Amino acid sequence: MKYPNTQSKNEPNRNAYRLLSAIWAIGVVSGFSLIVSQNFATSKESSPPIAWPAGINLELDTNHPTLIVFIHPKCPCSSATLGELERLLAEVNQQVKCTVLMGCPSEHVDPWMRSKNAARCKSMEGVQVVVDVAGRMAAKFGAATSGHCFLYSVTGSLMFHGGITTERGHEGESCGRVSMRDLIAGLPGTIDHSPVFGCELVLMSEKSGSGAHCCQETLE
Amino acid sequence: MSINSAVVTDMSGEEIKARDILLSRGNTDRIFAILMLLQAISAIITAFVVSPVAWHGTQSQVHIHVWSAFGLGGLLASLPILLAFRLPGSALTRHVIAISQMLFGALFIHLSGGRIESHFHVFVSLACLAFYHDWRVLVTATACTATDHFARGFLWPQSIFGILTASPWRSVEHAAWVLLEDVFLMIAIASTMRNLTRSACREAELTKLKLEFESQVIAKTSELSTVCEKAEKALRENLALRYALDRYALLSIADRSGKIVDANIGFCEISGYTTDELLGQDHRILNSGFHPRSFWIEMWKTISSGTPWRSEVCNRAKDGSLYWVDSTIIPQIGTDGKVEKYISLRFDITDKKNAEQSLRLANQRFQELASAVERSPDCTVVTDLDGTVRFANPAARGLDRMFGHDLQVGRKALLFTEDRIEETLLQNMIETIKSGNVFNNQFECRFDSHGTSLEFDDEYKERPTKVLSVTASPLINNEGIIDGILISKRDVTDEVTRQRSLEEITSAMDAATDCVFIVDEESYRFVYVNQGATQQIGYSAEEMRQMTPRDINPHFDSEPIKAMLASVKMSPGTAITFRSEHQHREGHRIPVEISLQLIPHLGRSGRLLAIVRDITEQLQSEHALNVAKENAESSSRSKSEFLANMSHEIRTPMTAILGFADLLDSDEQYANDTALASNAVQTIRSNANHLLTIINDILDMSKIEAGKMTVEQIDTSPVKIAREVISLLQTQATGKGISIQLEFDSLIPGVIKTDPTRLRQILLNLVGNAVKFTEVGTVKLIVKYIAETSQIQFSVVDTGIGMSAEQCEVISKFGSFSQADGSTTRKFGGTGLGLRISNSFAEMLGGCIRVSSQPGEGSTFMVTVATGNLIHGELIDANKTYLPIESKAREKTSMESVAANPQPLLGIKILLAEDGPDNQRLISFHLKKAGAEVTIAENGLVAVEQIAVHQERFHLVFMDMQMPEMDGYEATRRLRDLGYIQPIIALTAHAMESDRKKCIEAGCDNYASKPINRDNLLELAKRYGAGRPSGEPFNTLSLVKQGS
Repeated sequence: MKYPNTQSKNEPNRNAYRLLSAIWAIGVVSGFSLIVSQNFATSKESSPPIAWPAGINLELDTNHPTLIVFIHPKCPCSSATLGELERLLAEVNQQVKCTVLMGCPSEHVDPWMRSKNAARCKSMEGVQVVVDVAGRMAAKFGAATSGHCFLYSVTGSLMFHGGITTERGHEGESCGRVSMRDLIAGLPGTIDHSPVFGCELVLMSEKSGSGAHCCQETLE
Repeated sequence: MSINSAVVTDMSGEEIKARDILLSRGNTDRIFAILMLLQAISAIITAFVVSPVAWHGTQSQVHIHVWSAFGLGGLLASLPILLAFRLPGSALTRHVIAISQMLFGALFIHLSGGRIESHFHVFVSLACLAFYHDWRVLVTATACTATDHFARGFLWPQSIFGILTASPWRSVEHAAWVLLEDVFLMIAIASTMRNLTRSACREAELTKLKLEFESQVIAKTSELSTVCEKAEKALRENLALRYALDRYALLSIADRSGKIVDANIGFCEISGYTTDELLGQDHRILNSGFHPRSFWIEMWKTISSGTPWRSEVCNRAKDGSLYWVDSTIIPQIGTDGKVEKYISLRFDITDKKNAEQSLRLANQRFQELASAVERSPDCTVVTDLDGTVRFANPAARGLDRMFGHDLQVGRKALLFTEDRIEETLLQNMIETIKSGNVFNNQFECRFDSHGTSLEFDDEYKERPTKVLSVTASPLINNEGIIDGILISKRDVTDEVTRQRSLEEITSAMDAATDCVFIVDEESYRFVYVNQGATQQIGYSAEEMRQMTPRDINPHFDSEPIKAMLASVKMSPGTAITFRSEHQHREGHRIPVEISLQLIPHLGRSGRLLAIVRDITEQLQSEHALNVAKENAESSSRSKSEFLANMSHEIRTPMTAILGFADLLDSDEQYANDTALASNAVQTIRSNANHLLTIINDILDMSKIEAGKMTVEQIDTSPVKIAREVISLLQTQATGKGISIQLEFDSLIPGVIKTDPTRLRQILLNLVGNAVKFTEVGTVKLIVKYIAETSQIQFSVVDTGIGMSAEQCEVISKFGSFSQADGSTTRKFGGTGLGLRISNSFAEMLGGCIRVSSQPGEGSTFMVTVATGNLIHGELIDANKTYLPIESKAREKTSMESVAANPQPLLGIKILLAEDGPDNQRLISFHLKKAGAEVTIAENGLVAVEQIAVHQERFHLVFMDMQMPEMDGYEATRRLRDLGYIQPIIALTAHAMESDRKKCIEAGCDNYASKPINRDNLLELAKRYGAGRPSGEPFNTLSLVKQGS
């Protein structure tokens, strides 16, 4: 190995490398910007029902607030939502009735319900897991993105809705989780709405059909 | 490459420090290049594991994180890797690496979903970047992280802290942790750089010292090289000089006291001592004793005074051999003016001294030779090739004077003494000599006793003769050219005379039929053998001269021959004759008769002369004579034994016959007691029959011995004969209490061509013997047809006493008068002729008899007879075929007829011509009792007269053939000649077939052998006499002829 003579001999190349480095920096910044922007991209959400919807098989808890969470069984980003949900439930000490609705296509209910998200939900203490066949319940609540949460008071009024992650698939303390924790605790929340980051749920429009009552399964 | 291996140059401390830092940063660049690649791969793996796909309801697609990992991870790693290998150690490279490394942390945080552990990447990256020992890199890295935070905080504030408006103290806390690490890393970098500076300064000082030292070493080395070159040159010259001395001279150096302190290779080689053996010794170790003591005293006196000394010295090597040297001793004077050491330089002159010695010896020998030639009685002449005499010794001159010549040096002379042979021989001799060969010749010449030249006159042939032997050899000069002739002439008259005499003797001895050997008395080597000897032994005369009698006589070392040799040596000139054997070259032995004597010889030892005769034929004649004599003696012994046996066999029944006859004649008790008389008669008859059997056997044997026995070849039934034999011996076997059986072991020819009488006789003998020698058990006759040999085999198997192997061998010879054991004759009786006769018959019938036996178990006699040509024969199963025994039937019929008709010959007139009164009475008694009228004639003449003269008429004539006056043959012949046609039955004691033929030829119709069997006699009388008219007995025509 020779001693690198970096002073004079490679001087013309050095400038070329400097130029190349600048181009490289631009590319890197652009790449990161793209990733971040993608992580913060959200779907268009419908307006949620401000009162507990009637005609659904879900029951409103009259003693504690009722939390409805829509999860795509196969969405990898929802792993962050479930992590935040575990923290939330731990923080509120079971003072909320939590139901997770797993949106599944009608023909793939069983294989989808064997996913990691479904298994994790089933393992959570105090969480009711319900199969939302063909996304009918999601349609009822106007949820379109996995990780969308709805918190109703004992009277059936909507206290909060939105996501509980800072960005797509990114765990960490978020405004949504903090607000819901306060609302469940009976405190005023800082916000009543937050963006939802995650995969798109299975919606009823994809699998035509009606009759929301007949297509729900409850898993304990 | 390490720094230690770098070229040592004169560098300052700063330069060394810069060099080391540069090298260190280049290595760090490459480490980070590898780390970048690993991080890019890890990012891809993380993306695939954590979030491989994103879902849109039921539809999935590759997650943006996977593309980010491939794209952004690859982009982050690419430029640092490129720069690490293209611009290692440069500031640009390490700052790009710092940025890339920190951004990889951001990427991992994204891909892992913001896991808190991924934030450690930032602090680890800063620590790793400290390897560059450049605090500016840490600044860049920290700035990059800060920028990332602030930029995202500005664009996506919740991406930093999860909330849109986080507490500013969290940013301060984050920044404080990073800055804290930066501060400590920078302190460490500064410390490291100081150490590096000190180390570089020390290295620079060491390098300077080393360079100075090396320059000094180079200078000293250059000086040393010059000195070494000079030394090597001097050494080479010394070595060359030493090599020359070692090769061509003998060098030794001695100290003042004469002790050897050095010796070269040549000195060691010629003396045979090693250097170690020589060092410390003085030169007396080489003293050969050749030179006197004064020689050495003079030498020491010279060299001690410092004067060089030179002489030729004879030394003795270690192995005792002597060698000569030309020795020069040079004293070397030291600084004190005294001799310090002696240098001895020698040259090997052994060859030269040897040559001188050889020359002296040659001269001495030449003088001796010349003197010998001068005194020699042989003539020696040296001439040129043209015959001019160079030298002639007194003998030569004397010889020539004898022939009237004057042999003088420088003149030509007659070499061959006489003109008549000079030209021919001279020409031959010169041609022989010129061709390089030796010329030899002998010739006779005559000389004048007065020493005058001879002329071919009438008296020439009367002159005395001398035989001269001439040998001429070429003389070759130093150039190898034949330039002269050495002629040697010698009077060999006496030798030639003796040689001729010897040749004559040798020729005579070679011509002798006997072998002549002359042996040296001491060495026992053959000195001479004649031609007969070489032919007898098979070796050449030359080979024989290298041999001794021990080589040809296997008995030479035996005691008898040693004794004879001693006797011969004690009595020179006295011959001793003895028999011995010589061994031929091919190994066979020759019986010889040797006549040996010692003959005188001129030499020290005597000569043994052996006259040897091959006596092979003589011994063979003697042997044949002895065999004949032994055979004759054996035959005589056999005959004597036979006669003794016969005497016994004949006298035994005769004793009984005569004894009982006497009793009947004279004893009143026998005469009055019918039973006793009948018993005596039976005994007499039995013994008489036995006697008759003996006589028949003797007759048969005599005929066989005389070659007169003949056999018939007529159709015969073997089955019938076998059954007859069994039937005849059945009574005897039953009487002994043994069983006798007949078996047919194969299909048997119904009829064969053979002699039934002899075959029956054979079988009766063998089966009879078996019955005789078997006390308990069975006798079997087994008949078998052997188609391959066209023979019938009769096996007589008994369970009798058997025979040993030796007895079987004796029996199998079928010798005359032999039985297996002489004692058997006494026990069982018999002459021993039966088996011999049977075997002779069997051989005459185309077969033989074989015997096998085991003592105590029985014997088997197998007799074979040829079947002849079985043209009409068919093979029958004899076991199922019944053949009536005709003889017995006929016998029975005959007996029955006799018994039924007590006088069958009633009315038959019979003339009995018999000279014996007893036979007259006996035969006439039988015939008369049968009813015949019997007239007796005492001899043949009476019988003829009674028939022819007295015209008595008879139905039948019984004619005894042996009678006085006129025997039966003559009488019968006369009667037949007279035309007598009535039957004539011969009565003869000669029972041979030839006798029967003789009787028939004499004119008899049949014959009856004596002793006369009554039944047979009556049967013949009835057959030939009954119903025949007794009228005209003569043929009328014959009588007319007779009368006329």
